[in-house]
Amino acid sequence: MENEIVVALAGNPNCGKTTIFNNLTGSRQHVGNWPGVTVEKKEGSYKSDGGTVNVVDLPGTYSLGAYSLDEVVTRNFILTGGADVVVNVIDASNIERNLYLTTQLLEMGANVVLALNMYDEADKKYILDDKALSSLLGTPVVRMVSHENKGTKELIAAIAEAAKTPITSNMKLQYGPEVEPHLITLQSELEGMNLPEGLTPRWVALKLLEEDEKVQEIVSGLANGSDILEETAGIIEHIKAVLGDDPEVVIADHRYGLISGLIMEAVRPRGPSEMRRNISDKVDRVLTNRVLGLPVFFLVAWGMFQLTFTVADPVVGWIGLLFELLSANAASWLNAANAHPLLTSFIVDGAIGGVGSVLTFIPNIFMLFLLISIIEDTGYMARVAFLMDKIMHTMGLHGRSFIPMILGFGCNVPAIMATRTLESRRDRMITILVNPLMSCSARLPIYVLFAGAFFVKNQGLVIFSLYIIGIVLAVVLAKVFGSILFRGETAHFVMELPPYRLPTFRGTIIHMWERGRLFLQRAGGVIFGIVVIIWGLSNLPPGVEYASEASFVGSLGKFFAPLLAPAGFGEWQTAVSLIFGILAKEVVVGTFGVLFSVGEEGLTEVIRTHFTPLSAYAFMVMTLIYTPCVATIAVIRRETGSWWWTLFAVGYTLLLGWIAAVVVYQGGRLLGLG
Amino acid sequence: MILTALHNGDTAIIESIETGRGLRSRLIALGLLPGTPVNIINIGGSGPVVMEVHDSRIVIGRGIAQKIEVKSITEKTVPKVKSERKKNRKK
Repeated sequence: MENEIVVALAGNPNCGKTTIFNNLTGSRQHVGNWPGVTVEKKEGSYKSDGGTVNVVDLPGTYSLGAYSLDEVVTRNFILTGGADVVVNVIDASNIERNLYLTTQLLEMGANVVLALNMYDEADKKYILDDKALSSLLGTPVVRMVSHENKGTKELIAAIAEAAKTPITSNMKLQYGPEVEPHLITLQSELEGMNLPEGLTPRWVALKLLEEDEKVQEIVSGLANGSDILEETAGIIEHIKAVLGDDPEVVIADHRYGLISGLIMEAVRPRGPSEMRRNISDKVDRVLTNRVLGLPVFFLVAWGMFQLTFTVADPVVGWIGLLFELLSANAASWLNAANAHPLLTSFIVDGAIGGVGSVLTFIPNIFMLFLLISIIEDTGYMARVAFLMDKIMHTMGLHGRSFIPMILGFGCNVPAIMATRTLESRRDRMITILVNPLMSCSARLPIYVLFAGAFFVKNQGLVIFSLYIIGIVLAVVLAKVFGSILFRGETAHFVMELPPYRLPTFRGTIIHMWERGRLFLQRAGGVIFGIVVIIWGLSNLPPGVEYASEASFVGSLGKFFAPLLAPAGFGEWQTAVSLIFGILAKEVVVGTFGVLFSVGEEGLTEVIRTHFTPLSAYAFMVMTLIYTPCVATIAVIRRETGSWWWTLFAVGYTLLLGWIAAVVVYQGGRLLGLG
Repeated sequence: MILTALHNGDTAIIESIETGRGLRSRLIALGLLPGTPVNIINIGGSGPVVMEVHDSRIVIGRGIAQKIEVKSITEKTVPKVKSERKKNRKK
């Protein structure tokens, strides 16, 4: 195992760290979790000079305090010597704030290479003397434009160099006449104290003055540790009395002071031509306008749904025709070849009927993923969090909780994982529990099928109404859960609004494909498997007529069907589709494909004979709300860490779905709609 | 004066941040600490506040904004009386 080094990427959120990670590692990457915590750990590797370089993408953080799990994970990794080289990625167009993290990395004694990313944008704004910056900080500096893959080679070379001859920065940060003497006293006392490996006395002393809880814990476990803590408390009181501020603020002030010194030396403004900012601010004047912002957002959302359905619709029709053709040809070909009827049935009813009916909706789903990717990549998502903050406050959450909710329209699994960015456990739990009500893309085929069959003229509107029902229920339940199950205040809303970026074509397509691929894999794997099981159960016990009431699925369906009768869809096939739909929501449509053994007439026509418009709508409401799929259930279990809450999520959605469907159906009948 | 008393386009210097420690660390990491100039971008109504801090746009909830004391350096407002009162309180 010669020549293997570990490189860690550290940097603020939105600094282009992930793009650099992709440029370095290409497709050789995998995602896991940091041991013991639910923080995502991305790793990859590349070959250089005949050796292997393993790259770890650390979570994006603004600082290295003990404020969030992300920060603690990042700094522990660096402190314990996990990385030979730390590449600190910096948004060069926002250099001042980005260098704050750099000062902390250097304080920790990390072997840092500075990647000045977005150099092109910075260059429009000011003349950046990277050589001066490099000599002032005492670290190698590489200019980069990650979205154009510029500077990657130079970065690789700098990493190799830094790995060979590690540099400890010669930059000495002093904390002023009030703090520095105390720091030195503490430092010398800590020197003989057997600190855990990787921790320097100076860093520990600094963190003690900053009242860092994690470091306080470590010190309290040492011999004489409590004396040190007591002494520190005295020093802190003293500094407060003299300077009128906590040492933490004073220390931060010195870090920013050092940074403005650096900037004065190494950065010269080009005059007031902040092109990108100007455009970004102009766009924001409309998109985050107090009056226009929300209507514009609803318009964007409405546009997204229109695009998802109308643009993709003709393609759905063609694919549907293709499968019908395939099915008819396969049937006649297999009959001609004297194949066993069971084999014919398996291929025609099971494989083509079941999986084909799901695959038909690929265009809708890819379009939806494309649009979600664009919204994320442009930076609009952060604006939506801003716009929704006020509304989210009325339901006891804040704006950031809205981002996982939007992601839920794609798939609830990554959406629930995205709640990890919420700091308060209360906010996280509520956001997780209501997330399944965000209608995911797997439920889309159900709506498209039913709305297409019964509400041809108002298809878009009907489907939109389902999404709205989901959102409204989520809002109401979040309020209820917040005031009954998880009392307390919501965490504070603080976030950065990154400048708008025009997403690159390649980036957006990759993003869409990453998500869409999962849908295809599911269709070929899980969904195919389930469909085969349903087909098998439709042929058993031996000799039974295919997909008849006497078959196993028939008995299963008939057992549960009476429960669903009040909601207007008491046929046994529907019960079967709902039961197997818990395994994966796409299966609901797949089950109809198998059980109604669609011959020449399409699934649409068959469905018309089994439902009325009213019961179809009630059924769509049921599929929107009822029990989330097993993948979602599993992720709820993992992220909440509790079986109790998992069962709760499964139970309340089932009950709520049934009640809502019954209310729709019975209410509609009272109004004379059915 | 408190930050929420500012208007769009106002520039002010942060004087103190009276929040809990964890939140303050977060604000400091985003560049918000006493002595930092901020430029108000979007403050109307009762929602969160958007401001320019260094070269970035930061949103903070209204509740946090109410705990930040600032000194306006735009001429519109007259913060003198309040800022003196603040100094007294500190002592």
